Amino acid sequence: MDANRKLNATSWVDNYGDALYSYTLARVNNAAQAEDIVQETFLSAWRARDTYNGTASEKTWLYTICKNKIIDYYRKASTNKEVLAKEDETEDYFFGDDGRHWDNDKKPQSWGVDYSKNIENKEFYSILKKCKDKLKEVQQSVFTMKYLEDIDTDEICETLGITVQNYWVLIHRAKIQLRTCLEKNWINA
Amino acid sequence: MANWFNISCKKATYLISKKQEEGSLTIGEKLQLFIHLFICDVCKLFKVQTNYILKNIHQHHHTETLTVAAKEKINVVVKEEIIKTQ
Repeated sequence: MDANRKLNATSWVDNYGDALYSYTLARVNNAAQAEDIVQETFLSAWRARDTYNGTASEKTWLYTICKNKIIDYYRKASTNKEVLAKEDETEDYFFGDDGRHWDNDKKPQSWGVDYSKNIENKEFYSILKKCKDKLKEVQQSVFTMKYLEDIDTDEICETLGITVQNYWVLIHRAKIQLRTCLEKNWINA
Repeated sequence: MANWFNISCKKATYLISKKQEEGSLTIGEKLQLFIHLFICDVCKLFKVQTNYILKNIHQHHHTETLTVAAKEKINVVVKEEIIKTQ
């Protein structure tokens, strides 16, 4: 009679716990926080069980709830942090005081790779994650939402309460730093 | 006018990022970036390398698992809630 018969809630943690945790940890960079989000996902799903109508699979439905929990987490984090793009020395660090040219020690070096090929190197991804974890929290949130979650710019700005100009600056700073970190730890390692 | 054509590396990299995000620039910005990239190999590298990183980011797959203790804890909390409100 109702779709939630198709839900197998007592097996959720065993069936999806690891997968949701893996998904969450890639996005929030904090094991304890990721565990909380996974737990909250299951609790919210259970409380909302009557809204499950069976059109999506149980798994897809749980991922959707989890994704919303992650966005809530970003939203909360952004209200506690400096979100504004000002008051940041990123560009000064890379371009020197007048900003005209790259600082000699920090300018991009040739990587000697074929840029048209895909990266099939597991190491790249673990280093990328470490580099991402080093970014300021708000830059991390913006970058993850855009490039791991595929959330569009308007929604990111709305969630974090920032202007689109602010968004460009934050994501630009994330890219400059990621590129440098990858060059240092992946290419020249 | 000479200054208008001659943008800094700081501005050029910002325009490269903006183009990656927005898919396009204003005509003025396009022209400024085109001229800059024509003369600046370093910013050209920045463009190629960031495109390369962004293009590959999606193949990122994680396989982390919950610790036994964490999974047990979540299992207890969730099952308690289910029993309480079934």
